[in-house]
Amino acid sequence: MNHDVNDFEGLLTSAIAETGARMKETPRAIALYMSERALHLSTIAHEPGFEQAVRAERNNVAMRAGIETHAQASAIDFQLLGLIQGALRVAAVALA
Amino acid sequence: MKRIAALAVALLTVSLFASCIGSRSKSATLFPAAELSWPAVQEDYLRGVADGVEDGELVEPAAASLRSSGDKLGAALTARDVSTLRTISWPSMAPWAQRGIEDKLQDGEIGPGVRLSLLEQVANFTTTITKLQGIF
Repeated sequence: MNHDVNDFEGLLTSAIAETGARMKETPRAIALYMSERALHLSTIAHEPGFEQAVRAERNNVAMRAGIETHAQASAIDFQLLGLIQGALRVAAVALA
Repeated sequence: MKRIAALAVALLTVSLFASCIGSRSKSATLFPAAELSWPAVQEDYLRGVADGVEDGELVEPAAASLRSSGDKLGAALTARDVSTLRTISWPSMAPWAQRGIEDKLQDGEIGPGVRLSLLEQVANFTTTITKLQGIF
């Protein structure tokens, strides 16, 4: 679990760095959340309506990224965009 | 199945990438996420309203009003219209979305783990809307 969070954080940080943005705390929070949601998805793949859960978790990560980023009042616009992009990239990798 | 999930997530994330590119304002981080999530949340919301009517807990005029409020919310998100968004009380509507999720579970359309994902989605949507209403 912790290993996954570190992986996610590393991917997220790299993705954000590619945009030229710098953030300190938020990537860790998003990485942790993504790890939790990915773990949850991996345990329910056999359930009816699984595709609804996949869509919901995609939305959950996107919304949480927006919420966490919005909480950082000092973050500049470019950082916000970089975080969203980074979070989405990690989301695509998370269950691969 | 896991590979299918990975593929689905990868494909679905592309749409949010597209909606985010070019956004530079602070609210652009919340609006795209809310707009992206609304169709799924609305599905559960309308399901809950329909279940309320079916169970006799809602009469049609009230149900129509709830559906109209949902349409108004969706339009406000699409238009990035904070003024209109502030006139909508999503927290008072959210229980209908939760009811829709429970109805899906009762009807066997989703499992208990999927239910948790959908409930999480409603919770995040509520937080996102609340923050959007307070941005400007």
